[in-house]
Amino acid sequence: MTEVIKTARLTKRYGRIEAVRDLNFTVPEGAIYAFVGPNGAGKTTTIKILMNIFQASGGTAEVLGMRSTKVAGKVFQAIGYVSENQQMPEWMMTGALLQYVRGFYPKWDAQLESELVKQLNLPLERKVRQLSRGMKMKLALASSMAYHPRLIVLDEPFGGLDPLVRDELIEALLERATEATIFISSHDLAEIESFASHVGYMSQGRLQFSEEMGSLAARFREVEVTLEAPRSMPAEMPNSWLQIESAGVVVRFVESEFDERRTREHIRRVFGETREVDFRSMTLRKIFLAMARKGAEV
Amino acid sequence: MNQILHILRKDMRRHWPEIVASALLLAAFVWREPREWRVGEGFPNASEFLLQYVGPLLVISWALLILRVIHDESLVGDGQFWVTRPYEWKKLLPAKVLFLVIFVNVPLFIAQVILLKEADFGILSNLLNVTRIHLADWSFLTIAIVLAAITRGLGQAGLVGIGATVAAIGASVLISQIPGSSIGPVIPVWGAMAGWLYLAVGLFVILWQYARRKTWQSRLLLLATAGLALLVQVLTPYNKLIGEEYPLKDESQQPVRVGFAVTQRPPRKEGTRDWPLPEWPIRVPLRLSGMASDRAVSVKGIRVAIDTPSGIRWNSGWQAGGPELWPDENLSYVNFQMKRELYDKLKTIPLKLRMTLALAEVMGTNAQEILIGDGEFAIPNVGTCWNRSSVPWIQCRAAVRRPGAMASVAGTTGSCSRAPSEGSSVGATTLHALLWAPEPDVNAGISPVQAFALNFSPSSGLVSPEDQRKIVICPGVPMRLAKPKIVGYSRIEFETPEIRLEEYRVDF
Repeated sequence: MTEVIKTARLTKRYGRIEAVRDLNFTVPEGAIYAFVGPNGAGKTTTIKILMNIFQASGGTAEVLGMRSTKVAGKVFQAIGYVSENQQMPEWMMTGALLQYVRGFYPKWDAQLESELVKQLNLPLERKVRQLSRGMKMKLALASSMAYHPRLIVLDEPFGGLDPLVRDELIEALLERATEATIFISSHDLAEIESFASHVGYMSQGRLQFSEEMGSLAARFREVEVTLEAPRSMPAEMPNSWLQIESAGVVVRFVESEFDERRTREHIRRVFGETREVDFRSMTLRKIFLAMARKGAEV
Repeated sequence: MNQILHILRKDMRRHWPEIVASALLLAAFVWREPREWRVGEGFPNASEFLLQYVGPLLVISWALLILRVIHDESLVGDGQFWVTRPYEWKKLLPAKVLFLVIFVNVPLFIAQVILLKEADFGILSNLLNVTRIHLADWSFLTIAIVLAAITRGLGQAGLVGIGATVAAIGASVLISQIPGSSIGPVIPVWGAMAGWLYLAVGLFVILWQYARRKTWQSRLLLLATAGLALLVQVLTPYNKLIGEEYPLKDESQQPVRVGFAVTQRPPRKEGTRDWPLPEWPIRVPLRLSGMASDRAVSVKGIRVAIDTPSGIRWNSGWQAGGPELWPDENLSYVNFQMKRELYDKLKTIPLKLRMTLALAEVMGTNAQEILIGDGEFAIPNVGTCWNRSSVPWIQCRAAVRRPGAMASVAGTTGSCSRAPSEGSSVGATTLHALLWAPEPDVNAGISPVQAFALNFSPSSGLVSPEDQRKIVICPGVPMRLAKPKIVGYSRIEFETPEIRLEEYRVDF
């Protein structure tokens, strides 16, 4: 599968501060890649390096097969970029802005533009400065999708939006997801959990992990073990067990390398015979919390 | 080209109010400018008086237009809409340049054609030089473009502009404190070099910003250039350069023989006020002789050294400026400045001044004799002039290039209406005027019509101050007019007899 985005030891420093450190990840074509992490984790900095707005201090990044430092001009005919921090030409009418932007894209699809305008209820006769934040994001999205980009990059697109607008944006995005790779950053896990195919988690400038959602969900389980009798916890535990807690005969932990047969074997080896073992799937949020608390790479 | 026109159309839609405002100001300028050429026409009412500010306002409106149109696709910051769109900087920059050509240069060109016609100058014959004005103007437009390229918005640009202006004034004040720093021909050469350096760096910054948007690098480069220029000016060995440029020559090779004129200083007037500045001007009378009849000498600088028996030593360093000396003069004056504290200390002590003058010998070329007209009259190769017959100057206008002039004419005291026999003639003393052509000959500006005055003054000491005020130039008298050309530089040194400074200070 072609890699639409690829980084190798990507680093960005501001003086002594490392905003991004040794970042290695790939985004395969057709993926909906959720780039998540708390505020200040380095997500926006990474995206701005990918979009050639910032220059990396070290390492490399490739976007659509070319060095990120070459991403400029006509390359953006294949990239749609929407950011919460983007300054739109506020003086323009919504319709005039779409008309103006249209002139830059040979593949502009007027039919799709009309559909997006209708779907997102964009007021064409209103100035951009008069639009609400949600409307501005809708406009930015519409103007970034109507030319069938190969890659859509969204930097915190849903921040501060009401749920209705957010759902409208996600719906519009997903309807076109089949033809584009979507790279979306967010600090809110819940809003992207439902549709992301891949996920990368950044914290303090470092990528904690990057993988497919399916494999992530499959390898994480909340485990509850009921012992035959209370006992002290052994000193040696498998490295893949996180957040281990015990209360009486009940021991709970998060298994980060779940394989039922192997996990049961590990439990038997650590605790001997048990009364009951219960495995529960985890939400993305719970997985990230477990990871954040562990504070280490898996 | 499509993208260039696409951006241009957007900018036109966006900035039509600024375009209209600058066009209106330009129209007001065209309406007002001819009144400037003709002394005496004046402005009939207060509203027209306000129009004298139309030139500066027009320049400001263009600067605003440039800032606004460049800031539309701001080159500073990381949140710009255009940066992640398929804009190509190699088309964005030409789009902006094309916009400025259409809305600054084209209207200006039309205005200049109208003004040339209004001033009765040929249009086709001046087309090339009008184009040169536009090129010179672009060096100033470049300043505004650079300012726009390194700032985020109008507020920031305004602050940077004010800061740069204050810094430039501070630097020029600092440089002016250095003796010899304003004595040509060293300074024009350095000035031209600095101008080209600034232009080259400015153009580089514009290209660099459009290609890379490395704002801090661009700002640092500009600061470094300004710092380097200042450093070079501060560290220039002016004394050495002036010494080389103005060599000491044998008396036989000197363009004029100069010595101290032992004259009784006129008694000071009653009620003379104190000089308000910290430096006191001292006026030294010069005795002149030995000048060729077709030459003039321009005093470019003066240096004075004092060495008193009590051990006080002082050297003024090179101070710029001095009078023009003419062949029919046998007396002239040069001024130099001295700190008040030192003056107060020395003013009553008899002392000798060791004077050094830096001289430029001027020869008139392409001389012609024309008769002064009554009112407006044409002077070949110069332009059109206007004689009011009531003042010792002639107001002129020339197409694009202001010519240099070395002129002599017979002046009359009193009124031209009297018959020559009744008028009190100044006698053998002619009036002289020396006007240097600007360097370079075509400069940045708005109007292609250069208005200037030939200010005539009588030979020093031959006309009483009362009579000087009454001198007029009457119609019908011949004026000898030539183009001044410097044929040599030299330095003259002499020592005054013992004098008291207080007898030679200038009253205010």
